[in-house]
Amino acid sequence: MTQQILSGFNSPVHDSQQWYRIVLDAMSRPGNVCFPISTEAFSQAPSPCSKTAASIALTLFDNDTSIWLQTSDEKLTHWLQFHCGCPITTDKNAATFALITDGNSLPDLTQFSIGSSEFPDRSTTLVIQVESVTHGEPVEFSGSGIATTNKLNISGLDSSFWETQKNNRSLFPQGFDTILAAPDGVVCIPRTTTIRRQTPCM
Amino acid sequence: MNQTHVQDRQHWMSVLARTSFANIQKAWRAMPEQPEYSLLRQPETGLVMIQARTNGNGAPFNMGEMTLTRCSVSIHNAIGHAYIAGRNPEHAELAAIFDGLLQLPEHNARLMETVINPMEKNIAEQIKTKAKQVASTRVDFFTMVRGED
Repeated sequence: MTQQILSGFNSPVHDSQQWYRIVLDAMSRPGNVCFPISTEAFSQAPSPCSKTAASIALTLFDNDTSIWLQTSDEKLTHWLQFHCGCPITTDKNAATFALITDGNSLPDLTQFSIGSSEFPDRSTTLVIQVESVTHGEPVEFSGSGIATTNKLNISGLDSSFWETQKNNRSLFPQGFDTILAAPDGVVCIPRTTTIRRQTPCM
Repeated sequence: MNQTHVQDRQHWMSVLARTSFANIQKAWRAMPEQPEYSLLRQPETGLVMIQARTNGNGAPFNMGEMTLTRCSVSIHNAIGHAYIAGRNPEHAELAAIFDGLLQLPEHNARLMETVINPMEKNIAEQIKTKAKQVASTRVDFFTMVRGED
């Protein structure tokens, strides 16, 4: 029979407003861990998405944004198409958003759009699922939106990301922006953020 | 889903959308047992652009926007959708539930008999009554041929 689809936000208007605010806060203060006050936005997220990543998807994706998906999972594709009405693309350079469900095995991030010098805003925004933004490898953020430096711990993100972000930083005003979605919060890394890894001493 | 199924479904969805709210509510209350369902997409009201063609064959143009309410429910193993004109969320919800139930073979025949057919008859009657009322006030215009002088 017809394929089953999971439901979306319990309260579409209020939940998406709340999540929009969270992403906005996280993007304007890079390195700050932002999290909703009430987490009961929905009952079940489609695997392999966490509730955080699924909420961001429901909030930001719509019929004007084409999405690149790391997984070809049919249920997730159906779910996104039903609730967001978003076109799915396989062309990384054409994607407005990229949903990367496994932060440990990143695709080639340099293939995503960095915008043009006339329209740097037409770049891809990466939504990367990670395991945690409160435990793990210590990193230090600095740049626009950060008074001095911002220290935090991230786990479940492939270490190649930091090198890519270093190059990405040098492309300014072009470049992609990143949203890290973990079950314990949201952290944004816009193109302006410089990251220093604190590799532990031997 | 095969071709005939699609046509059947279009038919009942159309009837459910055009019937009056009172009728669909009556049909729902008359159900021997009201099935459990969950809302996939809560009833939401929005605008759709209606396109039309001059004379039915000219170039399409945007005639205007109309209010529309849609709803999707998950019921047993089926997904029911409804798009209705206007802004009655309960109507959209009930229409979506009936659409879901009608897709299930164990409910289809009974519901077609007890719900859809009477609704369709009722709609046809209403159209007929309306046409009669309008016809009674019909005015025929004659243009007299006038002489040139």
